[in-house]
Amino acid sequence: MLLRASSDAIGEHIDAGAVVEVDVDPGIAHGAVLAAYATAAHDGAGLAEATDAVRAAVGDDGWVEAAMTVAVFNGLVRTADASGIPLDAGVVSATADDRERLGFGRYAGSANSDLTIAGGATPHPDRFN
Amino acid sequence: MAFASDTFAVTVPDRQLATFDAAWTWLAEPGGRWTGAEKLAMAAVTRAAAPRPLWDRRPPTIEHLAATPARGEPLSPLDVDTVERVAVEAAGIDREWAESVIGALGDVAYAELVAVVATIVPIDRACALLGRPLEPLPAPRPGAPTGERAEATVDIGAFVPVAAGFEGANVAKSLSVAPSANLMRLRVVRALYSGTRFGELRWEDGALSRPQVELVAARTSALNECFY
Repeated sequence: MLLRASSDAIGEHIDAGAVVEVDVDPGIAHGAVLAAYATAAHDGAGLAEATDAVRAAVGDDGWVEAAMTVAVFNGLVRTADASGIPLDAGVVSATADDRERLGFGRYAGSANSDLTIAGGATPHPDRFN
Repeated sequence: MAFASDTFAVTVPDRQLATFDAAWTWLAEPGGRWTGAEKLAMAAVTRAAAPRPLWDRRPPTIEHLAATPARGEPLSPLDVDTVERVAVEAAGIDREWAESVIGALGDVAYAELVAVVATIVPIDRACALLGRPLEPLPAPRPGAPTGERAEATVDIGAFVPVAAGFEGANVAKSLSVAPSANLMRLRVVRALYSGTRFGELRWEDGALSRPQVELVAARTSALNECFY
């Protein structure tokens, strides 16, 4: 949801398929390089090459931001899955189409949310804070 | 400072380095249900954890894991197994397993354990990705657990209750039954990700745009098979 909303906000239109499909061009600046970096950071394979590509594309400061994002989301996913939190009500309806397209329902954590909720409050803007 | 700027080959923002140092201090201190030595033992288990091989994908049930430590050991077999699962198999945690473990450990102890993992994993991962050796764990600080627990809690359908009145979305309040632990891991999140600008869709003060950051975040979450 944040990926789509933030890209719309700056006039870029993300192809959310790039979240799970390596052959999909995200459609944002340096998106393919950054997505490949996230994959290499997870898998380990090709990390040196992916790092070089990110540094060439977005500079050292951009590399640090990408690395920190990978790092922090490795903590957040463990928090979310180990605590069993359900999706916030507003997110359930707002992300239904993307969840269906991207196949997120196959993840075990989907059992923690009532996906039949049709509406709900807008997620708090300080979601992680 | 353990995480001095000159220990990195590239410039890392001061707020991130300060947060890493604060996390190191927090890890060594007594928590709500765990001593500093126990928290550091969890951090060490997290670092050593690896996915089970294919021939051993049926780990012992918690009934077969002792809930008390062997003599001289800081953690029980159940503690160690729980840390390992959160560290490397979190996506496979289901309600039945979680509620069994929480029944044995207690909700604050479980939340605090998860917070230890969720604090050290990002810091270690950041160091590794930036080519820095992992920071040695600090020496534990003496003292008994504080007994801290959220004054009032509510059930939002998660495995553990959350602090009543906690403003924020579910992931922010997820471990708030253990208030200090939740605040520490949220400090890491804030320092490495959104800062104080989470509600802003345009990020113009960094090297990456908001969509670029969110793409990396979403790909990372998907690779970890995280539904949330």
